[in-house]
Amino acid sequence: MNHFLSQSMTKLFLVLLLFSASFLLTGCWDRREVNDTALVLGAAIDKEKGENIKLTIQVLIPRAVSGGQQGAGGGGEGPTVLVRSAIGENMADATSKLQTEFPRKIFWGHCKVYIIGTKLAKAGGLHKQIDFWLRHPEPRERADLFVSVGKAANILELQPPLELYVGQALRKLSEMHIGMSVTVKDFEQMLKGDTGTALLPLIKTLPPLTGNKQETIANIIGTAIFKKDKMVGQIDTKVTRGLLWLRNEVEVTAVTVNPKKGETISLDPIREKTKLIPTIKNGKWKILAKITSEGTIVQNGSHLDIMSTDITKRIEKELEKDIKQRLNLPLIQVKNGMNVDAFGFADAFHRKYPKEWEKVKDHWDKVLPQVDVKIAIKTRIRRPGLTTTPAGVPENEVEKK
Amino acid sequence: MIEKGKISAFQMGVMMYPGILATAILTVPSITATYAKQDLWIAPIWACPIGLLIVLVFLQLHKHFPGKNIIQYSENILGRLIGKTLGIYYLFFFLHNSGFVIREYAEFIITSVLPKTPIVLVIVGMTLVSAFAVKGGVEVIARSALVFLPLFMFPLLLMGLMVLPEMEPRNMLPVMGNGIKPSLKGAFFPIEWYGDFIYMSFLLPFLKDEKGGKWGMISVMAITLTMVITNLTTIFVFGGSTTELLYPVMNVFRYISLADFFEHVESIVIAVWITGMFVKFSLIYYALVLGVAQWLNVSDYKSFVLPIGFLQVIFSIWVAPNFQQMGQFFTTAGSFYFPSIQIILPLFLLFVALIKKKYKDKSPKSSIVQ
Repeated sequence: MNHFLSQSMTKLFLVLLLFSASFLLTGCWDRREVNDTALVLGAAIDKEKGENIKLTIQVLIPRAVSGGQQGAGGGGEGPTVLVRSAIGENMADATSKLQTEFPRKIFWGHCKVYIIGTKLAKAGGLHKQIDFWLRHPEPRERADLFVSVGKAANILELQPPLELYVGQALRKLSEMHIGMSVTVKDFEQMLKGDTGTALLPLIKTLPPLTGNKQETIANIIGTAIFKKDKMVGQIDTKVTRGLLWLRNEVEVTAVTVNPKKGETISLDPIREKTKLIPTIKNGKWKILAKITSEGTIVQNGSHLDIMSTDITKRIEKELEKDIKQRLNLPLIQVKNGMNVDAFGFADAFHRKYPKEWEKVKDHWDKVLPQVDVKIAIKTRIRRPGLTTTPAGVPENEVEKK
Repeated sequence: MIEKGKISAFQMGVMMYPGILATAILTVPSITATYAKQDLWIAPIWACPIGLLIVLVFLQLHKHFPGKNIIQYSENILGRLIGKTLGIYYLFFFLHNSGFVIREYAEFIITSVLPKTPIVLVIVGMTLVSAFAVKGGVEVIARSALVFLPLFMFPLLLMGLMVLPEMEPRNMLPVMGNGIKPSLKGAFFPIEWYGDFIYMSFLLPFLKDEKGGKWGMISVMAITLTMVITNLTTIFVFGGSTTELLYPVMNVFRYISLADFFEHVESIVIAVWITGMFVKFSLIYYALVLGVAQWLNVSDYKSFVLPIGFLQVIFSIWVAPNFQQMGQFFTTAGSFYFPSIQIILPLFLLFVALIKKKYKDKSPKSSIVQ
């Protein structure tokens, strides 16, 4: 009897224990309900008077999104996002001030876009701001970074016609790799790199098509160049392409050459590879940029028969010349013009010649102008596309050689 | 014998794997990277022979004193008085070490997921769960280790695959650009963690088979390999900024994003990590409790489980006032403290035992069982 009692008592105790465990599972202190959080979708920081910054955040209005999905149709609904800003000494300070304007707790976990105003970028000291994104447990190191022409806050106000909010549009643009695509982690890594040179995509508001001034997006118009977290210059899209090519980051480009005046042939490169090969000989620092590119012809606006192997070779030569010109642009503008190593030459030397690098790393700025850059390009046209001879040209007019 | 359970050598190897790695992949890559830079991944390879050495030392000691652990045979080797003193010294060390282990775990949980939760709650939660396992005996810990191992290993092995698009293998170059020294310096920290193989001494007496050596070695190798893989991945993904991150491996998991929907996976990984921590902490907890019972010559260790758990909770608060000081301890005093107790002292014990055996062999009355 006694034994039976103690057994059932143990059982009772075990059941109670199991129930009490459920109290531990709620996570009382860090409990966070979805309907108590304000999801930040994008943030912009601008320079304010003195050392202050203005933080603008874009917060999702959940009601608007769920309403839209039920299929009300048309574009007459309310906005999906709410934009608010506050001035503070840094990100954390401004966030706490912004919090007073929101009935819900600001949550950074879904902020995938940070936009920095040019003024702040040019003033330098960006490391003070990125620290928050890496130290605070909520912001993701995968968020994309942009520099905006003019005030960054204005960009968050835009209503993109195709996407739900600007952040999404910018993120998708960045994913296409038409310009630099830089995450917080990449930026931090660049600043910490051998030369402290960093590159960020530069964005600008596209002129709106309709009467509504806000109904547009911002697109990537080039690259902002940073030296020791201070913006020192910018380059346009064309130069950026060349830069991306040298950095082995280029993805979509169509290369067009003119075999004769008024005639065009375009190649859609499928595979591009760039290898920087550094050499130091007799105290002379040289970089050989070995570029291989292969692709398919997508348009033939000439009279040439691209099925002919001779002509293919000729076009390949033309393409190489064209690419070389593109690559020279950033070399002239960034390397010679700004004396900034945006190409990773320093890293290439460091990797191959760690001892020599150790000697020059403090005065790399003086060494860089003397570095001789040679470009070697190999272009291969792999296939002609779906047609052979140029479309709409009579057989006898096609040039076979 | 106090413990009646029996485990297989394979189970022992399985217990040792999270027994080292659970905390070794938290802060160790970051501390190692401050010295080794891009040679971060080489450091565990330098540390590996030391890990093998520790296993060998304990195997030898086990061979001379089968069925006994370090608390018991230190008496046989050094005599009653010095042996007992060394025993209590070890017990205090285990208590201190378990304080570090659980504090590291709690700090990790607090900084990464539960910032507002009191740290004591996290610590007490883990201690209570482990207390149940320890009460259950060595078989329970071994079996839970067996269940959790795939869970624990799976994300670590898959990690590299999931961040493949983000990897930049160039980051590891130049290999040993500043010579061999940085990676050797960095190897000190994995060595601190390999020292935890001392707990193998408590498992060896319970083995059913004689394959303890084989699985101990395999365990060291597997740990080294995992460390090399995780360190390489962090170097490939974060490059020079690895030193700036407190928990680089967690950051790699945070960085995973596949096809825009498979992201924010770190919470799953942390949950899985806790299973590894459980095994590690239970192992130390068990060794401590068993050691105390044996030191006091008590026939049952179960009554010690809760009081010692309470002590561990207190020690975890006492070991350091803040994270910074704990980190400093690991980089300064710790790099001598841990190896001297976990490696040098056992080596000394083995040395004395071997000398004693040589002398005793001449006299017919041999107290050392061979």
